[in-house]
Amino acid sequence: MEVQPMGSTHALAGTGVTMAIGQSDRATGKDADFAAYMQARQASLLRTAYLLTGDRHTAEDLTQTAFAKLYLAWDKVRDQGSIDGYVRRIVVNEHNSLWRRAWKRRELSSDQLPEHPHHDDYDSGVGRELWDLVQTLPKKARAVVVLRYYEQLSEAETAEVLGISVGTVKSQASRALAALRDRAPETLNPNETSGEEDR
Amino acid sequence: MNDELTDRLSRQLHDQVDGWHDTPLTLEGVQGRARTIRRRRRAMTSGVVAAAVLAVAVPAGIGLSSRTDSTPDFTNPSPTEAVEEQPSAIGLPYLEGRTLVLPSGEERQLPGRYDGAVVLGDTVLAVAQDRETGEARLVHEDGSEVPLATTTLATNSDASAVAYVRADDHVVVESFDGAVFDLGEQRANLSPVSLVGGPDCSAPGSCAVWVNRGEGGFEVVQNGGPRVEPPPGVKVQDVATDGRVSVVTRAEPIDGGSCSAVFDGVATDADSCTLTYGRFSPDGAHLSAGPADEDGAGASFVAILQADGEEVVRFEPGRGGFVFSSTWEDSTHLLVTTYDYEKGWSVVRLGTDGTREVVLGPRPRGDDVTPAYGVLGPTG
Repeated sequence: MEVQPMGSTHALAGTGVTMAIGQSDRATGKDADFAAYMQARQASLLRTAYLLTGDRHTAEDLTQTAFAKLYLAWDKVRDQGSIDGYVRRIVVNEHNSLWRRAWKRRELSSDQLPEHPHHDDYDSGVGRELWDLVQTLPKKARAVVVLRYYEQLSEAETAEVLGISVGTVKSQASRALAALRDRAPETLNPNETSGEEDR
Repeated sequence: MNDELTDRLSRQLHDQVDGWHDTPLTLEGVQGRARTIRRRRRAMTSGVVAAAVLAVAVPAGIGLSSRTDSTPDFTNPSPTEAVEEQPSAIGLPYLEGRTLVLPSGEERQLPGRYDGAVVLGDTVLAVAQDRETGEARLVHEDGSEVPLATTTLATNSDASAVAYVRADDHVVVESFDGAVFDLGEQRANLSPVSLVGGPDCSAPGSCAVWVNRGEGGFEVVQNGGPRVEPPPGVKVQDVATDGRVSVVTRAEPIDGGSCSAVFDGVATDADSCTLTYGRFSPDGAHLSAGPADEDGAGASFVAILQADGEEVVRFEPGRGGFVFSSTWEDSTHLLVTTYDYEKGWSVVRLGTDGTREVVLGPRPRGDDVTPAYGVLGPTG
């Protein structure tokens, strides 16, 4: 994705994002760079956050926190040319934190009935079963699934984002897929239906 | 074997979100969140209040613990050799959940979770902050409470007295024997950093409390005596027993760039714009330091400097990790509270000779803001 340049431009290392300079009289150079990056990457990061959380509002909160932490570290991360990886790592790890906080909240308010399931605009209704199954995966396994099969990261890249070994990525992915196969309805798992799997 | 399933999975994930092109977040909103994160981190790492666990209201009148006869010896931390035989022990008290662990190994169960504590002799003073209102209070073992203006406390060099700022903006020194010395009402938004003198502050000039102002800058609150003129700067980090002062001389409010210096009177012993200076070792021979620019996820390293500013040791956490805080255990060891996104929280003992060992943890619980261990001592 590229930002349409306004005025002079320069490229951010490792992002493919071309930055516009001097877009705002008030903004500093840093703010202008950061704003351009945020504009270019926000929708993509929100999509990943949504796949991790399954909830739009939580995804927006997660993404805002990730951008805020990136903002604080902007100069250093930019100089290292690792912006995309850095902010993606924050999203994934913040999701783990949010998950724990949500768990604590549920524990503290166990006398309250759960809210009705939230269906948002992004539920197409097609393949809902598989999406529902993905949301039942443990958070680390789900992160591996999202990074591997949505972001299309390699095992090594996924390991880098999650701060775990490649072997752990492999085992998490294998277990996640096994769980999906076990739970998937027949229509989603034709191999198993035909009895050909692993033969 | 998984090709069809993974293809379906990939398609479904894309179907789920590919229609999402909204960009509802604004730069202003992100900057506001960034300021909140920074304030929270600074609050969590300042003063002696290093523990950061969810505060739970403490029932009034409930003591912090049963009295014990043991008296933790702050002036003579556990010898390194003994600690190495039992690497889970450290020479400073620390909080882990509701448990206060003393250097002797004695554990005291606290009636609630606290944001921090200080041990004066055999007395524990705890700090709790209401997460909703932000109101802080100092809780004594007998259940009595003092409303505080800030959660930060500052002890003197032998931990025989502690300074704090009451909610009515009076700077107060409380000694290990319960004596309280009111240094008078001061301007609002002060945070104590270092207490020089005490435990008896009854004589004029016997106590000086170095405090940072919320709006920037710092000053010295005294109980009379010759006026102490602070060096220039925007934030005081520590005051050594010989009078040298560690100061941040310049700081950028948002991007975190800063410069630091050590002042010996009017002269500058050391200065840097690549490091942020922290606390002096108890003997004053070394100084802790971190990066001059604050990292979004926490400090990327902690360093030990000689008195002249020369770096002798640096500790960098593993990939994705960061340094939360550091506290001098004794004159030759720095205890570093660090977070690793895979392993969780740990406390690492860093020697001035370059040795290092994990003494607490790793403990994979808590998020990256609330450490599992709160080492009690002047943090930097």
